Amino acid sequence: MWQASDEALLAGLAAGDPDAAVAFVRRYQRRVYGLAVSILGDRALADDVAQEAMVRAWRHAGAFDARRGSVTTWLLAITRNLSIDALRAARVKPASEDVLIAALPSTGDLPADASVSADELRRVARALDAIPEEQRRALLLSRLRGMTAAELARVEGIPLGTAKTRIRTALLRLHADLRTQEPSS
Amino acid sequence: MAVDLALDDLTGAERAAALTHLAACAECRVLVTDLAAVADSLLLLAPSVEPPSGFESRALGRLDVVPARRRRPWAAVAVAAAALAGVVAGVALSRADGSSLPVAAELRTSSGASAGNVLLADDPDRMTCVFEDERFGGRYDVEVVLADGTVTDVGSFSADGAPWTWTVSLPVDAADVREVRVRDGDGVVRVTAEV
Repeated sequence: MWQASDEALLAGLAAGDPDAAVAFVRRYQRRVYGLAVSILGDRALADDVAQEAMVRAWRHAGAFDARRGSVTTWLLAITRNLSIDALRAARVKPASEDVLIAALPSTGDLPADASVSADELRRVARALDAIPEEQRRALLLSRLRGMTAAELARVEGIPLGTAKTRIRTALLRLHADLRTQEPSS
Repeated sequence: MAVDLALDDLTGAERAAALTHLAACAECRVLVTDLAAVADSLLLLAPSVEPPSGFESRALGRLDVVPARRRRPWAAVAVAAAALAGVVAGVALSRADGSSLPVAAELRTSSGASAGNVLLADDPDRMTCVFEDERFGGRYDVEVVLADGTVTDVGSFSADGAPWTWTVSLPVDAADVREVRVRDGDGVVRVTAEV
C-alpha cells in the first residue's frame, strides 16, 4: 500500500508510467494553471502554457534535484518562466500587477492540497504579512511575475536602487523570519 | 550579493564574479541556497484555479499517455480511461484471454453523487481508487465485499483533499470483488462502488 510522494510521481512521470502521469497532472494542474493565468491574464494562453509546463517537467524530470527544493516549487518556477516567455513572444499585455497581488490567498484562506501542506503555506504567508507592503509587493512581483529590479523600477515608477533595495530587504527579512521559526535540528 | 545571486538578478559579469566567489566559499554557498529556497517558496502562494474543461486529457495527450482505445497493460487502459472518460459503473474492458479484468466502477456518495472511480485488475491483484470529491480529507479505511458476501479490509490511507489517487495490492482475487466501501475515521461509509 502506498501513496505517491511528489518525488515518486515525478520519477514515475519521467519513466513514462501512465498512472503517475495522470496523478501528476491531477495533483498540480490547478496550481500550474492558476499561476499561468495570474501572470498572463489570457485563459487560453494560460491553458497552453500550463500544458507546456507539464511537458517540460516530464522532459526535464531527470534534472530535478530534491536538495534544492520541492517538486512543487520546481514545477511552478517552470510555469512562471514559460509564462514570462509567452508574454514576450505573444506581446500580450500581462495581467495587472494589482490583480496578481490581489489574487494571492490571504493567511486565513490558504489552498492546501496534496503537494503543499497548509502548515507550510501558513508559515510563508505569515512571514510575508509581517513585511512592509512596498517590500512585500516588490518581492512578490519579483518571484511570481519574474520581474527584474529594472522592470519593477519602471512599473512602479521608482529609482532602480529603490527597487533593488525593496526586493533584497524583503527577501532577507523573510529568510530571517522563517529560519528563526524553525525548530533547531 | 548573496541575495542578488539567490534572486538571479545579475548581469553576466556580476554573476561570473559571484559564482567565482561561491566556488571558494562554502558559507556563502549555503546562504545563497537557503535564500533561493525561501524565494522559491513564495511560488507556493500562487493561486489555485480550475483549468478549462478537458485540460487533463489535453495535457496527457501531450505527455503521450495511452488513450482509452489502444491495447496496453491494465494500468494504462484502466487509469487513462477512467481519468479521461469519466467511467460509467461496471464498464468491462475485455482482454484476449476472456478475463473480465481490468474493470472500472464509479465511486458514489450516499446521495448518489459521483466521487471518483475504482479500477480493479489482476496479475497482480490490485485496486486503484481515484478520488475526486473536493470534500475528501482525513483518514479513511477501505474494505471490499466479495461475491460470497465476505468483507475484507484492504487498507487505510490519509488524504489531504481531492484529487487523490491510491493504489493497493489486494489480499483477495480482484475478480471476486463486488463492492468497494470507503469509511471515514468514525467508521461511517462515505463512498461506495458497485462492481
